[in-house]
Amino acid sequence: MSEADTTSVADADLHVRANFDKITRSYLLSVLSDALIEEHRRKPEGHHSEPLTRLLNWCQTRPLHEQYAVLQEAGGCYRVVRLSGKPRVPPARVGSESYASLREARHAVFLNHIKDLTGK
Amino acid sequence: MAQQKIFGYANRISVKQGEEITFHVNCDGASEAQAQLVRLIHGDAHEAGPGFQEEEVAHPLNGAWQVKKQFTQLGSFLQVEDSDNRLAVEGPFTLFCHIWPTIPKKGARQTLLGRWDTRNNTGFALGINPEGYLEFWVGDGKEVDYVTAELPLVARMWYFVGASFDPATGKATLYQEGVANRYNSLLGKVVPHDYASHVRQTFRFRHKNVASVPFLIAGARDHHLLRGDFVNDLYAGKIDRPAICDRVLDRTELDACKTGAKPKAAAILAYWDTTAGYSDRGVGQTVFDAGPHGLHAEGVNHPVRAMTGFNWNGRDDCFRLAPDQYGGIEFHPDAVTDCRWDETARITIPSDLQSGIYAMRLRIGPGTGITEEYIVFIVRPAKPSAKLCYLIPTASYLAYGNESLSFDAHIIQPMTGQPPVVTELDIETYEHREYGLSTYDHFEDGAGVCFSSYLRPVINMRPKYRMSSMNITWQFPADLSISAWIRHQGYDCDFITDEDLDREGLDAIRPYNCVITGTHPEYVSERMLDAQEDFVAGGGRLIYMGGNGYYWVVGFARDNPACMEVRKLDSGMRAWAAKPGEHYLQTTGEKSGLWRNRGRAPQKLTGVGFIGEGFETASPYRKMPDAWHRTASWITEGIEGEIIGDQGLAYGAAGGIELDRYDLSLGTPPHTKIIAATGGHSDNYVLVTEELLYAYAGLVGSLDYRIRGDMTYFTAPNDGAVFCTGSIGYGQALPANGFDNSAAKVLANVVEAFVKDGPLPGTRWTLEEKQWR
Repeated sequence: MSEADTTSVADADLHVRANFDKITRSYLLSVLSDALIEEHRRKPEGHHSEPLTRLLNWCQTRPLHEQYAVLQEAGGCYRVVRLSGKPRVPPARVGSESYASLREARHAVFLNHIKDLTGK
Repeated sequence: MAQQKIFGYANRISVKQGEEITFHVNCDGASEAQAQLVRLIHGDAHEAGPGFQEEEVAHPLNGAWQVKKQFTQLGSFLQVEDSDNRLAVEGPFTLFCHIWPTIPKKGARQTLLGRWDTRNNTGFALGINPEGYLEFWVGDGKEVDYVTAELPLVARMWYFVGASFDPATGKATLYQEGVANRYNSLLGKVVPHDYASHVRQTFRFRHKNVASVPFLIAGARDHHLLRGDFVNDLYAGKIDRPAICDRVLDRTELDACKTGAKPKAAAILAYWDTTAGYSDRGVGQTVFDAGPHGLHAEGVNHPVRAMTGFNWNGRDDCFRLAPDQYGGIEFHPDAVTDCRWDETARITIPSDLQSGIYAMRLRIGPGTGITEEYIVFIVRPAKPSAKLCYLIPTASYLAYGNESLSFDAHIIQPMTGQPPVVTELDIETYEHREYGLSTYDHFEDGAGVCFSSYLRPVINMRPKYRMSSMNITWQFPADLSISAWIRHQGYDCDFITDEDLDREGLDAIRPYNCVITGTHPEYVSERMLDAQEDFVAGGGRLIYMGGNGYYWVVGFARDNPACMEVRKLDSGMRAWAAKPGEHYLQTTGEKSGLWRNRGRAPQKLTGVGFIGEGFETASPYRKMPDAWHRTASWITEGIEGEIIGDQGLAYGAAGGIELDRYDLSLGTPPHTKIIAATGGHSDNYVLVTEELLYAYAGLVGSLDYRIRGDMTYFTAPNDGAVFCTGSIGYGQALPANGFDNSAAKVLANVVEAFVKDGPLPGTRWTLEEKQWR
C-alpha cells in the first residue's frame, strides 16, 4: 500500500452508518402516519409516543448538512433554513414560506424531515 | 453601499467609578456611529417578562463617534524579535524543526518557519505546500525556486523536517523523517507508511532579504492595500524546537538533531527551546532562543503550550514532571485572543455612576440587528458600600463567547430536542468568523478551543441575545433577569466580576454580607473558589443562583488577564477532550477538567452539583419536608401550597435547563436541608456523564429520580450560610408576572435575611438542629 493509497482511503464507518440508517428509515416508514404528524403538530416538545420519539431522534441525529434550523427574521416572522454542514458556509433557505409563529416553523422543519424520509 | 455592520469591544470588562475604559470599534458602511452610554436593566424580550429594558445615562462622550473599518489578525504564530536582522542570512543556512501537522493537505500554503514575504516573493521559508508536501523555497522578488518532498505529510504524525541551502552552489536539500513512537502520534507502527523523504535540488535563483520582513514561526508576512502588513500562510499543527543554523548541516548532523540533540553551538544562529520557561506555575507566551543572540519569540493569539512534544513518552503526563517532553507548541490559523484594533474612544466612568451593568450602545443606519452594538462592561464601586454583591460570572461568559454550536455541533439538536432559531447576527458572525471562537467550538483542524478572551467582540455577551440552539437567554442576557429583579426589589447592590475575584481573592467580597451569583457560574479559577469558600466559612452568605456551577478548572493568562484557559478532559459534559498528556493549564500549571475530579466537587461549597440537563421544557419545584423545618421554614414563608416557580422565561418554569443535586457522597454539608426539588422532567433531560460508571438504559428525566434541581440551604461558621436554587432557569423565572411569583418570593426571603447583620432566622434552634441530624 502506498502513502497516496492510505491517505485517500474513505471512512469505512460511513458504510455501517448508511446501513443502520436504512434499517431505521424502514422502521420509521412503517410507523409514519397522519396521526403521528398531528401528534407533533399538537405538542412538539416533552413526552411523545414511542414512534414519534424514534422519528424525532432520527431527525435530530441526521448529518449536519441534512439538518434544518429556523431563521428568525428582523420583522418577527420565521423561515426554514437548511444547514450547510461546512464551516463558515451559512444555511440556505428552504422554500419561500414564512411562518407567523415559532411553533409553526418548528413543525415545518419536522415536515421537511418527513419529506426527506419519504422522498415525497 | 457596503453592507452596514458594527462590532466592538472594550479593553476592560470591569471598571471602577472614576476609572477609564477604552472602546475599539470596527464598522462597515458608515464613518460615524451614534454612541450612548446605557444601563442595562433587562435583556430578554420574552412576553412573560418585562421585555428588553435599558436606561440612557448622560455622559459627555455620548453622541457621534468617528468609526472605521478595522482588521483582525487571525491565527496564532510566533514573532521573532530580530531588530538587527541577524536572521537575514546571506550565506549558507539550515532550517529545521519537529512538526505534527493537523491539516497538511489544506489546499493553501502553510509556513513553518522562515523570513518570507508572500506578496513580493522575497526571502526563504520551510513549509507545507497546498497539496500537503513538505517544501522549502527561496525568492528574489521576481522568481521563486522550490524543493519538494516526494511523499505527502500524514496528519497528526510527528516528523523531523529540515532544509539547507547554499547560495554559492544553489544546492537546496530537503530532509523529512518520521519520528512517531508508541504514544506521540495518531498512528502506530503497524501502519505500513513510509514517512521519510530526502530530496536535493539545484536552485536557479537566490533569496533576497528585505530588512522589513520579520522572521516568523507558523506564518509568513503578507500585505493588503487597505489593511497593510499582516501574517498569512498560517500553519495548523504543532512545532517543536525550531532552529536556524548559519551553515549547511550534513545528513549525519540532521540525523542527530532528529533525536533532539542540538547542533554544535558554533553553527546555531537561533534555537528556540520550546521546553524552556516551564515552572510548576505554567509557562508564558515567550519562547526563548537558546542561541547566541537571544532572539526570543513572542506568541500572538495564544499559540497553545503545555502540549506534548515529539519525544513524549506517554508515561509522564505533565510538563511539571518532564518539561523536556513538552516542547510542542500548537498553532491554529483561526485563533483570535486579541483583535488589537485601534482605539475608537475612551471614557471616564463618572464617580457617581451607580455600580451595575452598563454598555456603550453604538448605532449606525437603521440601528437594529448588526447595525447596533452593545459593548458591555461592569461598573464596580470605588469603595464597597452595599451589603449585597452581585458576582457577575464573566469567566463563564468568556467560555461561551461566540459559540456556534447550532451550525457546527452534531450533538446540539438531539441535546436540545429542537431545531435552532438563528438570526441575522448569528449567520453574519458564523460566516465571517473574524472574532474568534468559544471553548465550545473546535478550530478548523478539529482541536478544541482552550483560550477565550474579551479583547474581541463577544456576540452573545449582549442584551437581546438568545442562544440559538436553545432559543432562550444564556449567561450574560440571562443574568440580566437577576439584576432586573434586584433593581425591582430596590436592594442596594454592588457589582463585581469573576476577573476581580480572581485578581483580588477574598478581599473583593469580604466587605459584603451576601454574594449572589449568576445563573450559570460554570468556569472557576482556584482563587475564585478559594475566595468564596473562605467568604462563607468566615461568616458570609452565598446565594448560588444557578445550575452546573463551580464546574471547570480555569486559569487566566499571566500576560493577558482578559484571556481565560480551560482544558476539557476525562469526564463531564464537554464539547471536546484534551489529548493525552495535555490536561494541565499552561497559565497556572494546574490540572484542568472538573473541580470534582480535583477533590472539590461543587457540593462541598454550595451543597449541590451538576446532575442533569435538558432544554425543551422546565418544571416547578415541589416543597420537600425540610421546607417546614423550624430552622428553615422562613425561606418559604408566604408561599401557599407546595409548588414554587411555576412560571418563567426559560421554558415556562424555574426548574430546568441545567440542574444540580444534593449528594452527601460528594461533600454536601451533612446538615444541608433540601427545601424543594424539581422533578418529572422529560426524557430530553439526561444524566451527566461524570455520574456514569456503567451506562445503561433509563438515565433520563422520567426514569431516574436523581435528575432534578435541589433548592438547598445550610448554615456555616460565624453566621455564614449558603442557599442554592439548583437550576439555571430560576434566574429567568424572577421577572415573570411583573416579578410577582413564588420563585421571586422565596429569593426575596433569602436575600433579605442574608443581607442583615447578626444571626440568621432559625438559628435559635441550632442545638436542636445538631441533635436532629
